[in-house]
Amino acid sequence: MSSHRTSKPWTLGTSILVGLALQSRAAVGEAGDNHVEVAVDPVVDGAQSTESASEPADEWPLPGPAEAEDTLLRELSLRHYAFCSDPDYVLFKGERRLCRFAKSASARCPAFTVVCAKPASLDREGSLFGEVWAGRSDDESPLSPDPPTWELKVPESLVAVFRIVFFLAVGLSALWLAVYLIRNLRRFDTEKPGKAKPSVPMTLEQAHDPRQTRGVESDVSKLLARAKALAARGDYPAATHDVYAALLRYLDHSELLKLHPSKTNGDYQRALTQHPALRDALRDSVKTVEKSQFGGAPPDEAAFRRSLSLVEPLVTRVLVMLLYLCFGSLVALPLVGCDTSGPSGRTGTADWGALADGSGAGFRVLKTLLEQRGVRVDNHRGRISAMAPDVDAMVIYDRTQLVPSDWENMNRWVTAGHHLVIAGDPRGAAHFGVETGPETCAAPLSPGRAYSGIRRTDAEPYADPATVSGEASSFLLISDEGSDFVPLINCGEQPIALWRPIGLGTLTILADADLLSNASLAAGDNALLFTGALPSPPARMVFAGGLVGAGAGSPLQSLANARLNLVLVQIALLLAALYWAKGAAFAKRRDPETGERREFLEHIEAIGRVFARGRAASHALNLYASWALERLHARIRPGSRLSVIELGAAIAERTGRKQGDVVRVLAEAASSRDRRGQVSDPAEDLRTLKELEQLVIETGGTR
Amino acid sequence: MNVQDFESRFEAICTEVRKVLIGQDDVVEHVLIAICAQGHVLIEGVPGLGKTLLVRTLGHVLNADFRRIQFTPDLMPSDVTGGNIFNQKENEFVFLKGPIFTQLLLADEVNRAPAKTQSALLEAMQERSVTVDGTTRPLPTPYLVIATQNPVENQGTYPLPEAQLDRFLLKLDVLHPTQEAEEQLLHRILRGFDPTSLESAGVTKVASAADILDMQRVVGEVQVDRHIVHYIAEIVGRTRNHSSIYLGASPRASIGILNTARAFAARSGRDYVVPDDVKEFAPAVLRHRLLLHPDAELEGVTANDCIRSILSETPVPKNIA
Repeated sequence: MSSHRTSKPWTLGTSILVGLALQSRAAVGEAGDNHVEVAVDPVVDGAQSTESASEPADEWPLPGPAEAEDTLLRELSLRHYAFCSDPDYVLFKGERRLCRFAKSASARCPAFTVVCAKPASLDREGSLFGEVWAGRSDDESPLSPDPPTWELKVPESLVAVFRIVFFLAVGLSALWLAVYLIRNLRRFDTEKPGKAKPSVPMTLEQAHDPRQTRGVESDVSKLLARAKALAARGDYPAATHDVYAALLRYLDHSELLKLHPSKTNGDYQRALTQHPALRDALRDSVKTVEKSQFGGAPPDEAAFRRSLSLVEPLVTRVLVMLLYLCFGSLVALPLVGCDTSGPSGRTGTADWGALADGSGAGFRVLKTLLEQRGVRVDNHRGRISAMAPDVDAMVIYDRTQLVPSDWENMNRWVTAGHHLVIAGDPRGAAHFGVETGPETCAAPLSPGRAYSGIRRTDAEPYADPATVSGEASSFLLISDEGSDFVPLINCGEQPIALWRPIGLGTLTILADADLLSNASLAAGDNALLFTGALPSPPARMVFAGGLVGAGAGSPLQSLANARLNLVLVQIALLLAALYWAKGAAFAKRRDPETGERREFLEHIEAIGRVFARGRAASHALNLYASWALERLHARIRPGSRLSVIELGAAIAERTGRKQGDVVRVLAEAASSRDRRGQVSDPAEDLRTLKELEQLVIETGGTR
Repeated sequence: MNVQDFESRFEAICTEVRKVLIGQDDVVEHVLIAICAQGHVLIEGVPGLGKTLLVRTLGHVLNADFRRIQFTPDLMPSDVTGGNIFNQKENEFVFLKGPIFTQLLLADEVNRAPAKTQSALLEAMQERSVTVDGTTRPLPTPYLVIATQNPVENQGTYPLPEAQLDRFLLKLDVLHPTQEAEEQLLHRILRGFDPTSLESAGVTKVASAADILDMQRVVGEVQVDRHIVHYIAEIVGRTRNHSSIYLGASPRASIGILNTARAFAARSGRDYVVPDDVKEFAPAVLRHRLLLHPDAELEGVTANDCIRSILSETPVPKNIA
């Protein structure tokens, strides 16, 4: 018995498969089943099998202990499991917790204890699989993990986006093409007058009020079609106008000119100076249309045909090019589309994620051993509810993002005859009435009431399950006392694995997913223990990690998952409040235009020019002369009134100037007062003003 | 004469004038348009651009009587209109006609004469007649006054009052010719071109006063759609509501735009006016009739800027946009 503890281990995966197969067959009561003997528990009566223990195992050939040990040793010796054999291996931070298995696994992984003895500060970020994925693994090392052997052209997260864009583009293009073909292939019935809508002439008010909605047609092809329809009815003026409008719209859409209510046809023609062909076509069309609009000479059929023959080839060329472009896009899109396939030519997606991880925390050992037993192992992809029909069992490991509705779906799936293993997901366990205990269990593991040992018909029995070693991180509590859960594996007195039938299927809950890890399987008799617990191997088993259920089925759900709903509502309310407070300016305000500032001197000069134009010199002289003459009288002979000549003589005597010059200035100043409103020479006025000022200064200052 | 004849005759006149005047094709056409629209022209340009030569050549080509008056500060009104002179021999007063009695009158540097002398042109331009000492004497037909003024020399000038400015149909800004045109002119001079001798330049008389009257009649027959009328009225109306314009254009401006648009339509060989015709001549008709706010002037806004903004905002009739 004791030899089984160390030398006769079973792989855990094999155990799970066997356990599941036996229990499911026991649940459905299939006759003529396997050779495995299952311990009968009153609780699981529905899952009992009536086969005798002596019947051979024809569907699930279990290896013997020695063979199983050889298999495990051979697997762990591969270079994928560097933690086992490479003392230089540096743990990842997510691996450190698996070191609790190091001592027990030391026989098979001699380097594990050495690796775990290294300081935690040296631990690497990320995961081993992540290093391989990023190409950062050391390929020269004989113990380095194998790089993934399949290609992914684009990250999976973008695959869905590209797929949506692709089909959206295809759908819209197909729709547009269909509409375009139908519209252009449909012939306007000339025998049915009134089918085409005639152009409504604009009223004068409409012509001059661009704010009114006129419902003006702007589609080039529609205008041409309407023109032809009108021509068929004999309304050549309106038809010619539509041809002209089609050409202008085409030029506007091509950004060769810009339509504007204030622009004339001459402006449009001048804008086409660099495009003589277009300009000529427009000129011809304009001539015909203007003659009709303003010349009272509506065009006849010949004029319409000529106009149409000039315009139609120009505008339809663009449409044909657009059509070619569209077809080209439809052809090119698949060529640049995404390769949404996963591993090419491989068994699903098994070579990815935890199933391909050879570190202590990975499940690579489990996957390899399952495949050796003929089980098809895959990573589950997509929504949890999108289960492939050939999947018999699912193992959910790690904490998931599943919601109650997802668990309900899983419940229904299990009831239909499938097997579910929930490992290390407290939320999932809680949905089925099982809680994870807060404490860590470090007692030896032992089989529970639901455990059924596996016995072969050949010689050596397997290890005594009671002597298995290892540690579990936590134990399970059954919240519903009346539930059908039965302890499957105990850690001391507390269960760490529970089992119960649900409908036609079974549910197994493990407290800790690390029990399935490479490090755990390498330790003690963990594999043997679970071999006895799980009877029947499924044909296909999928593994779903912590990210399952993390995706959202809709944008709103995505926002809800990210807890952004409330934030967005608050932002929207804030924007609404700002909009209400600030009005339209909140959304459309522009920086105020700052005018160019001029120098103060420029303003003075401008004012001076304005005054000069207004003949201010004459007025200034008039005003100044009145004051200056009074001052001069007051200074020379206060109280008396001298004549101009007398005053001039007195000033000349005082200042030493020539009397004639002084008298002349005084006379001009006096005469300026008398010729108000008369035309005078501003230069002369200014000169007189300056000379008068000089006299005032010389006779006693400016005051 | 129909519009096609009008077009050909118009082109012929322009071709003859261009033999002498180089690089001023637009000015030539505009002046001829004004003649056909029975309007007067005010030409503003620095000296030496051929303003006098233009009018003299035009008079020669049209075989019309041409007189030139050089306005100076001491020019009296009677120097322009003429006056009654006592004839001792006849023992009576005889009216001696002034230079205003002509078909093509060039009023050179009209802003150099005082307002009193300038006003002597008012009646002639508007009424096509001159009243001296109570006697009104008609002026010959066709009658066109082409006045010039220098935009740079403001000393000793008498700016035309608004009332007189309003009587000019068009105000044309004559700019320096392009370098190519100037080179072409120099080459002509080198080949012996004498601008004072029009016959030596090969300028022939291709029209007469009767032809001008005929062309004016054809212009009068050009039809104008009511939408065009509305367009013109709206443009002029906007000059009275513009934020930078203190005094907008008068109804005389609307008439001016209408007549020039008709003349231009006939020149283009059409007997109907299109919006382009209106837009082509609205600036020349309006720019001298607008009085800007002083603050707008201080900011550098010009009448041309205001007209441009009005035209860019006024919707064109029958526009599909």
